Amino acid sequence: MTVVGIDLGTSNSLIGYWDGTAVQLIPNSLGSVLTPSVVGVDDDGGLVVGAVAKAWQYQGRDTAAEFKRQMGTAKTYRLGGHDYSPVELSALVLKALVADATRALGEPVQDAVISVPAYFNNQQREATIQAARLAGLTVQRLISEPTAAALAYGLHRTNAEQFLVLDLGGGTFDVSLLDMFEGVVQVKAIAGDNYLGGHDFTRALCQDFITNTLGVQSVEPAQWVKLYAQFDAVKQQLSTDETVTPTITLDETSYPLTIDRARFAALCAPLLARLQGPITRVMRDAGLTLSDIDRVLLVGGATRMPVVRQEVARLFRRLPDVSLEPDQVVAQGASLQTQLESDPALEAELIMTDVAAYTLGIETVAEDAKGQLIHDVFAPIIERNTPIPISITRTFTAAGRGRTIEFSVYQGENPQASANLHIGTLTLQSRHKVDAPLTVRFSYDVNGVLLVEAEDQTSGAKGELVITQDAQTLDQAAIDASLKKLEAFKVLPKDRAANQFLLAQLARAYEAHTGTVRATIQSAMVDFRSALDGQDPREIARTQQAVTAFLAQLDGDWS
Amino acid sequence: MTAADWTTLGSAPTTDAAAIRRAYAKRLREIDRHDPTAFQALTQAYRAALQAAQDAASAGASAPDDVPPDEGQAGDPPPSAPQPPTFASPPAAVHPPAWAPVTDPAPTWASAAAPGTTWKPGDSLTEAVALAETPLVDWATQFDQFIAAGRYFSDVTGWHTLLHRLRQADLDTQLTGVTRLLAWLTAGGNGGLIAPAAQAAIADTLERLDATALPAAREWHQQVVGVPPMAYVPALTLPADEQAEWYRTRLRLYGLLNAPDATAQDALPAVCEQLLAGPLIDADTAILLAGATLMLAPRLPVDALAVIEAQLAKVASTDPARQLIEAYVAVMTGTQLTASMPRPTTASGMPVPAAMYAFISMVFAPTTKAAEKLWRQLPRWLVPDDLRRWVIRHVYELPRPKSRRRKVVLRWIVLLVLIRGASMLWPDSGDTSAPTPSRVTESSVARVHVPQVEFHDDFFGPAAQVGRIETLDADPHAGSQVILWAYWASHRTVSGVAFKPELFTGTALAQMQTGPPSQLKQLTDGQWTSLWFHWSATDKQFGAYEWWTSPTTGQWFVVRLQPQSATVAAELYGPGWTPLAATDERRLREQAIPSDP
Repeated sequence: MTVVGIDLGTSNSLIGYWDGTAVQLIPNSLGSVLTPSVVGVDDDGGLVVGAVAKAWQYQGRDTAAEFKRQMGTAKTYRLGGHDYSPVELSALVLKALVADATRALGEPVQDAVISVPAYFNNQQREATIQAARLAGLTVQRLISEPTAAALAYGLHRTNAEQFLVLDLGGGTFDVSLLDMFEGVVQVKAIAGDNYLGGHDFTRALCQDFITNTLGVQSVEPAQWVKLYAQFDAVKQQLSTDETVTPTITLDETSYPLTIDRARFAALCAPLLARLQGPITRVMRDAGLTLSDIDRVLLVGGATRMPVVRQEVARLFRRLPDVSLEPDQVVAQGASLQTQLESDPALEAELIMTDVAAYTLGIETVAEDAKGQLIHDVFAPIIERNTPIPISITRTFTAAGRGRTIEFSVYQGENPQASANLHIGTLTLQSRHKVDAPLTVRFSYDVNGVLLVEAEDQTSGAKGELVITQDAQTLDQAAIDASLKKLEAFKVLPKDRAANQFLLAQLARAYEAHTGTVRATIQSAMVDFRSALDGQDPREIARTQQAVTAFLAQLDGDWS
Repeated sequence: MTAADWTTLGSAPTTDAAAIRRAYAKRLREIDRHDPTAFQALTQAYRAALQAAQDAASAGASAPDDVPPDEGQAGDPPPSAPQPPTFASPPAAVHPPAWAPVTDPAPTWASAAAPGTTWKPGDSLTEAVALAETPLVDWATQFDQFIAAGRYFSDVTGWHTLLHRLRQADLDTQLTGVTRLLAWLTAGGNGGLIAPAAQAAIADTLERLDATALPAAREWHQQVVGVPPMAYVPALTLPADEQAEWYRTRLRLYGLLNAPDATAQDALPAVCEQLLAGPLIDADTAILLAGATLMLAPRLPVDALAVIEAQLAKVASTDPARQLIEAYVAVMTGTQLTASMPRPTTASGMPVPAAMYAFISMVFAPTTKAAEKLWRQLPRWLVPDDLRRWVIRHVYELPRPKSRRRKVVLRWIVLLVLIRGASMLWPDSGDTSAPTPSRVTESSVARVHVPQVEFHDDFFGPAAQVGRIETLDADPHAGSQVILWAYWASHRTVSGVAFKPELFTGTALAQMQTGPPSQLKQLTDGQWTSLWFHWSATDKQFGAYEWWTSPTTGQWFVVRLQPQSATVAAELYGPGWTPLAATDERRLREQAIPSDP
C-alpha cells in the first residue's frame, strides 16, 4: 500500500508519494497540487474543502481558514450551525487530500508521513495526529518541515554543509539550522514565530488601504474579506512586477491605487524585522555566526515575495536557495521521507538527529536570601535545542513535609513555571520530610515522548509519567461525535468541483466589478448555469472553456 | 577533551574537523540511537572534539607532546590539543587617531590579575573585568578579542559586580570601554543575560557624562560617532569652557538618540533646545537634531504630517536648497521624495521624509526671513514655541551678548555657518540659473572594493575591523557633489564612520559631512538603516576613507554617477543585494567586476 507524504499547511495543503523513482505530487480535482486549507459549507449543509471553499470566503459564506494556527487550542469555528475544532477542520482537509490520492492511485490510502512546523509543541503535534486519525490515516511519522525541505533539496546527499531553512508560510515562520555531513542530518537548533506568515503581509496592505485611503481605523468583517482577497492578488503581483496599479473595489466604489515594491517594503518593515528574531536565536543557540552557514533555503509560498528574499539576502549576504517551488518543497520532502521510511537500506544511509524544540522542566519553589519561599519557579531539566534522545537526572529537595509530592511538568522558556505550557503532573506517594532528596529524571526520545521519573531517595518511593504526543487521546465518544460531524464532508465529483469553482469565481468577479462589466459577468453566469442545467457534456465543456477565458481576461483587466 | 572522549568517538585524537565528522557519522550508525546515554555520550564527545579542533585552528597551536599524531591523516599538520583562549600577551597597539591627544598612561591591564591563561568558558568574568579597566587606548583591540571569543558567562552575580565597577569607572580614561561593553550587553551580548541592568548603567553613564572632562568626551565621540570633532570647523575659536559645554550637550544628544530606553526620548526636546541655544550650529549638529526629529516623528498624528507635506510642496522645485534637502532626505531615509510621499501608519512607519524635509529646510534656509517663514509654518508638535524662538534668535539673529568678545565670536560663528550653508547650497556658485550644477556629463560606474571587513557583533561576526576603500580612479567629475551611502549591516551598536582627515584638504575637508544612521533607536531593535556621508570631490580624486564596519566582505561597492543630477549615489552591489537597473547591470558586466573578488 502506498504511503503518502502530506504537507498540512496553513494556507495550502499538498499530498504526494514516491513512485519508485521520483516524488509525485497529486493534483486535486481542479488539477492543482495546492489544495487551499479552507473548509466551507455548501447549500445542502455539506462540508467542502479546497478552492471552492476558498472562493466562498469572498462571498461571505460560512468558511473556516488558517485553523492550523489554532491547532492544539480550544478555539472552534462555526460552520453550518455546528462548531468545529481545528483538529476536525484539519481532518477534513486531510480527507480531501486522501480522496484525491485514492482517486489518483487507485487504491485506498492508509499510512502517511505528515509535516509539521519544527516549532509545534507537543499539543500541536498531538492535535495533528488526532486530525489524521479522524481522517482515517495512520501517521507513520511527523516530519518537521525544515527537515522535509532539506530532503527535497537533496542536501542529505551533499557533504559537510550547515544550512538554514527559513520557512515563511501562510501563518508561521520557522527557522531551522541543520548540519549535514556523511549522511547525517543533524538538527542543531530551531526557533520560530507561530504568528508570522504571508497573510500578515497581505494584512499590512489592507490595513494601509483602510487607514490611508478609506481614512478609517477598521472595516466590517465582510468588507475586510473582500479587501483581503484583492490585496492578496496585489501582493502576489508585486512578486513579479515592480509597480502594481490595482483598482480596489469596495461597496461599489472603486479606488485606483499605485503600489510599488518600495512602498510595500516600507509597509512590511515591521514584519521583515520580525524575521530576524528567530534567526538570531537559532544562531545563538547553535553558537554559530553567519560565516558558518553554507546555504540558506527559502521555503513557503511567502518567500516568493522579493521583499522577503531581499531581506534574507541582506541579512546573510548571499543569495538564498530558491531553486524548488517554495510551496511544494515540504510536500516533496515529506513524500521523500516515505521512501526512506519504507526502505531500510536508505534509512541506514541517512541518519537524522533532532533537538528538543522547547525547554522541559518542572515547577519548583525557591528560597530567597531572607529564607522566604518563592513559588512558581521553573527549573529547566532539558534545555531547548538539546539533541535528542536525552536522559537527564537532577536532584531536588522537598520544600515541605507531607505524604505526596507533585511534580508539575512544563515546557517553555519562561522563568515562571505557570507561564509555560503545562504538559503533565506526576504525583509521588511518599511520606517525606523537609529537605528530603528527590531525583527527577527526564528522558526525551526521538518521537517526542517524554518519560518523567521521580524518586524519593529517602523512602525509595518511585513514580513515573509518560507524556506522549498522543497521550491525550480523545475518548471513543468524542471520536464518534467528531466522525459524525465529519460525515457531512463531501468530495465533489471532479467535473462538479470545477463547475462550482468557476461559478464561485464568477460570483466573486461580479462583486468586484460594477456597471457594464458586471452585466457581462451576469450574462456569463446565466449562460453557464443554463449549460449546466442542460446536462449536455459538450455544451458544458464549451461554456467552461469560454468562462475560463473570460475570467482570465477579467483578471488581466483588473490588475 | 579526554582520552575517553576519543574512545567514544572511535577516533584517534585529531584536529581535522572532517575526520571528526566522519568518525561521528560512523559511530552514529553503530550505536543504538534510541539509547539516550550512548547518544549523549557520543554527541558530547563529538562537540568537544570539534571545539578542540576549532580552538586549535584559531590558536594555530602546534601539537602538544602528550597527543600522538593522527595516523590516518598522513601529511596533515601535527594535531594539537585544545588550548584555552589566551590573552597572554599585550595586544597590538591600536592606532590612535592622529588628532587625538593620547593622555592615557601605559597599558596596565596586562599585568593585572591573570586575564585568562587558565580561563575556560563560563568560569569567571576576570577578563571582562580586566577589559573594563583597560585604558582607553587599548580598548578596541581588547574588546574585539573579547567578543570574538564568543564566550558566555553565566555568573550573574559576577556581572552585577562588574556593572557596579563600570558605574564607578573613571570616564576620563575608560569612557569608550565602558560604553562599548555596556552597549554590547544592552544589545544582547552574553545572551542578553544582563541587558536590563546594562541599560540602567548606560543611563547612569550618560548622567555622569555631564561631569566629564573634555578629553574623554572627545575620545568617546571619536569612537561612537567616528568624526574628529571640530575637524570640519577649523576656524572655531570658542573659549575652552564653552567648547566643552557645547560638546557635552552634543554628546548627550547623541547618547539620547542611542539610548535603549524609549523614555530617554522624552529628554530630547530639552537637549535640542539647549544645543540650539549654544554657540554653534554646524551641519553635523543639524543632522543630529534631525535625528532627534526622527525619533519624535513616529509619535505624531497623520494629519499633522500631511500639513507639513503640503507646506513643503510649496518650496520651488528649482530651488537648489530643495535638491540638497531631497538628497539628505533620500540618504537618511532611503526614500525619494515624491508627490505621493508615504504617510505614517505605524509607530515605526514612514513619517520620516516629511519630518526630515521640514526640519532640514529650516536649518538650511538661506536667509533669516526664509527660515522664519518655514519655522512658523511648522506645526507645534515638531518644534515647541520656546525652541522656535531660541533658534530664530540664536541662529539667524545676532543676540545681544553681554560682552564684546562673545559678540565677535558669535558674529564669526553665524557668518561661518552662513558661508558654509551657502557653499553647500550653491556648489557652483554664480550659476544660479542651472538647477543641477553638477559637472557630471555622462553615466559611468566607478568601483571601489572592500577587501577585508569584519563585524563586531556576536551575531554577524566575530570581530571589529576596519574595512578600507581605496582611492578611486582619477575623477573626471571634479566638483561634483558626492553622496555615498551604504546599508549598514549591524543590528546592534553603531560605531559610525571614521574619515581620515589627512586625506581631505582644503574645501573638501571643510565640506565633508557625516552623520549617524538615521534611526539609531531602531538599530538596537534589529533594524537596518543606511549610513551616509558625503563630500565634494577634489580636483584629483574622490579621496579614500575608511570605516569601522561595512556591509560585507569582499564585495564591491559601485559608485554610480548619474547624469543631469548633482548627486552621485553609491550602492552596495553583490549577490543578493539591491538589484540595479538593467542598464547598470550591463554596465557592470562590461567592466568585468568579478563576483567573488
